[in-house]
Amino acid sequence: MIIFEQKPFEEILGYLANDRSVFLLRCTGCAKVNLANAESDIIDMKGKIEEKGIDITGFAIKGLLCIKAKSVLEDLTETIGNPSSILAMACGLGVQSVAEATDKIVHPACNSFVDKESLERGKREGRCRICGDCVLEFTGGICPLTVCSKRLLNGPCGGTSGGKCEISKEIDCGWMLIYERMKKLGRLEVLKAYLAPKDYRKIQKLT
Amino acid sequence: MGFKEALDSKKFVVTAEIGPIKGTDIQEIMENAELIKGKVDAINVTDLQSSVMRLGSMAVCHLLKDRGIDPIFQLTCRDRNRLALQSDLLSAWVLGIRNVLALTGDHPTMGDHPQAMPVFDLDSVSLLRVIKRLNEGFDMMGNELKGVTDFFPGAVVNPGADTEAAFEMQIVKMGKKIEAGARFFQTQGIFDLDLFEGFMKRAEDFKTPVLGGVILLKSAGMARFMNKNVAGVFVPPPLIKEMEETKDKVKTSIEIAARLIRGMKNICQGVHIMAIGWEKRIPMVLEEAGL
Repeated sequence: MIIFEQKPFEEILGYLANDRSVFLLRCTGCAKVNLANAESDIIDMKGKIEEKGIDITGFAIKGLLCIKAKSVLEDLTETIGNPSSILAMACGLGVQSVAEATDKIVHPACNSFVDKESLERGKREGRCRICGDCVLEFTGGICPLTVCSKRLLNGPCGGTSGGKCEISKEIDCGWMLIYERMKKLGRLEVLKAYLAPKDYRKIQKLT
Repeated sequence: MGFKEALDSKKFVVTAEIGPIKGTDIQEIMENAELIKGKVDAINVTDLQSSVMRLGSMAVCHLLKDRGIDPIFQLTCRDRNRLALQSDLLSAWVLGIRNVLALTGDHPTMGDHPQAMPVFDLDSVSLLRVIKRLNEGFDMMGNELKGVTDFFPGAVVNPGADTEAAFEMQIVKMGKKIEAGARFFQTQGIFDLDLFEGFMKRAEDFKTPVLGGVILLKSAGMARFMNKNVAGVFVPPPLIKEMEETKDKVKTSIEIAARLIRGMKNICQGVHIMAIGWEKRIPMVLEEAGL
């Protein structure tokens, strides 16, 4: 799940430097985003931009811009007016879909992140790097490309401490998870297998 | 006698480590190298240790070679993809560098450019395989080389890994590294000889020389810092107390290091001294240790 937070207003204002007017489009996201804030966010943004002498031709709050940008923009043909640009308050996917569906300049208003909960539960697509050469057979069904901070294929680095990763005590060392799983499965011998470097041609750009 | 010959001769081998500085003023590291020249069998040059941007290992290795010191070129997978790693290996060879230590490398977030892209295209095991392949006359894609390397490759192991899983994985990875061509090992700093002996018993079957790591303790504070922050390093409380209570920190530091080295003589094939700024004191440590 992707979540997004608004960029600092000064940065957004810089994007709008050459715009006379702007249409605001706020995504309600993919269920995870705080819906209650959508209206106040957009009203707040409208006020701040108008204060700087830039017209707001209108605004809209819509769900799932990543998938629905084209139909959303069609529905808004009447209300959108003729703004210099569209300010998309959405994740990176939403901004790109809106940009694809219009000839106007589309400014991103937000930075996108993966929410911690999804990371922990592993429900996001990021748990698989779509590397085109699956090694899960050798690693107990735990992917070293995504659980190891260094994407190491042949065992942990020397930075493991107390079962945690050298980059943060909050992060489990992926190879410790793999070891424990393989031990439980009685397959520790399999860990001796050499895993060759990845063919990066096969790794899709999206990941 | 070079490093490889020293290991082959079965003598108790001594290596030391120097870390290039941030900048181009090489006067001090060269002075330090001259001071320990002839007292050690080789000098390791670190590759942007702790992910801090510095002068490079290859250039300093080359300078050491010019001064008659056999360098060990430390090469990490952190900053270079497979093209750059192979090219740097060829470059190192033509500059006279013969020993390579293949490492994963610290994560960039540990250093002074934490925004940097972590590369890790290869890992230490695949890098060792690449070195073996270059020695055979081919790049990793099987393309033939015109002029071949003959590197003496080594790797690292961390005998102080602090959980069963971490320790067992160190052994597994050590085996993979040997299979990939590692001919010697240097370890993380060791302060507990009993633990190290236990590790060496496990590693015995590998029949590959291990140089035990010796870090010069500068103070009790440094020991506590390492215990908290450096993976695999554990300074037992009695040693911390010794550093705390001494009136002469340098003398006590040298005594502790020498004691560890004497202990290692019966356990492994040599020592690797990490002086971390105290390189000038290495000759005193070796003298105290009877080497």
